[in-house]
Amino acid sequence: MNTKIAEWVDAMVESTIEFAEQMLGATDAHVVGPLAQEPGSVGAYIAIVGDESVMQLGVVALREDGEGIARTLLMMEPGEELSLSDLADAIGEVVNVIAGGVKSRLNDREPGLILGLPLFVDGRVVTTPSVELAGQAVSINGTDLQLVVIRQPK
Amino acid sequence: MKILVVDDSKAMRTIVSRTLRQAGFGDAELVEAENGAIALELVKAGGVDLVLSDWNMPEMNGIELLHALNDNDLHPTFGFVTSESSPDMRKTASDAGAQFLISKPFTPEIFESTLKPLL
Repeated sequence: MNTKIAEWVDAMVESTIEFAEQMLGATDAHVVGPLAQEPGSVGAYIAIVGDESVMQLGVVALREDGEGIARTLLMMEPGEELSLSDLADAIGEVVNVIAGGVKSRLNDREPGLILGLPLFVDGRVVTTPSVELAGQAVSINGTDLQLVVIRQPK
Repeated sequence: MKILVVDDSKAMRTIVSRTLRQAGFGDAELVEAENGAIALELVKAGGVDLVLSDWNMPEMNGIELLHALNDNDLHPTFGFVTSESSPDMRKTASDAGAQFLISKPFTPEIFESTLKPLL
C-alpha cells in the first residue's frame, strides 16, 4: 500500500461529494478546510485492508449534524424519533458507500484491497503515535462532515 | 409488479425504495428483506418480479441468495445494488445469472436506464 495518505484523502473527498450529490440530493458540497481538532461526537469507521497496512476511513460529525443526515437518508418526518440503532445504521451506510467509492478510485494503484464492515462510534476516537492520520472537512448543504483517514501498519 | 429490496441497512432500503419511485416504479409493490435468507422465503412465497440485492449481508449474502434461487429453480429478474463493483464481482454476478450490478451511489436515472429494458 504505497499510495500517499493525501491521495486517500483526495479520493475520499471525491467519493463523499459524489455520494452527497447523488444520494442526499446535495446542491452544494465542497471542501471547507483541514480536519478539525475536535472532529465531532458521532461517526462511523470502516477498514480497508491491503498487503502492508490497514486504512481506517471515518466520517465524523457533531451529533446534531449526524442525526440530520440520518433523518434525510431515512426520510423521517419532523418530530419522529431517531433511535441510536437507526443513527448507527445510517452513518454506517454513509461511510460504507464512500469507502466503496474510494476503493474504486484507487483500484488501479492498490489492487486487492479488502473492504471491512462499518463500525459506529458514539464519542471520540483517540489515535496513538504509531498511526498516521489525515483528513479534510467538507460541507454538504451547510452541514459539516469531517473525513478521517488513518493508516495503521500491519 | 412486485419488487423485493434486500439490504441489511434500513437506511439503504429506504434510499433504494425512494429511488425506485423517482425512477418511475411508483406503482410497483415494494417489499423489503434484511438478508438473503428472508428474501429467499419471500421469493418462494411467489409473486416477486424483480430482486434488488445488496452483496454483503449477514446470514445469507447476495451471491448466496442468487445461488439459492437458482437451486430452487426460481428466476425473478435479479441484480445487485452494492457499494463495491470490482470486475471480479461483476463477473461472479454475471456468471451466476445476475442481469445487472448497480454500484452505490446511484441516481434515479441509473435505475431507470438499467431496469426499464429488463421489465
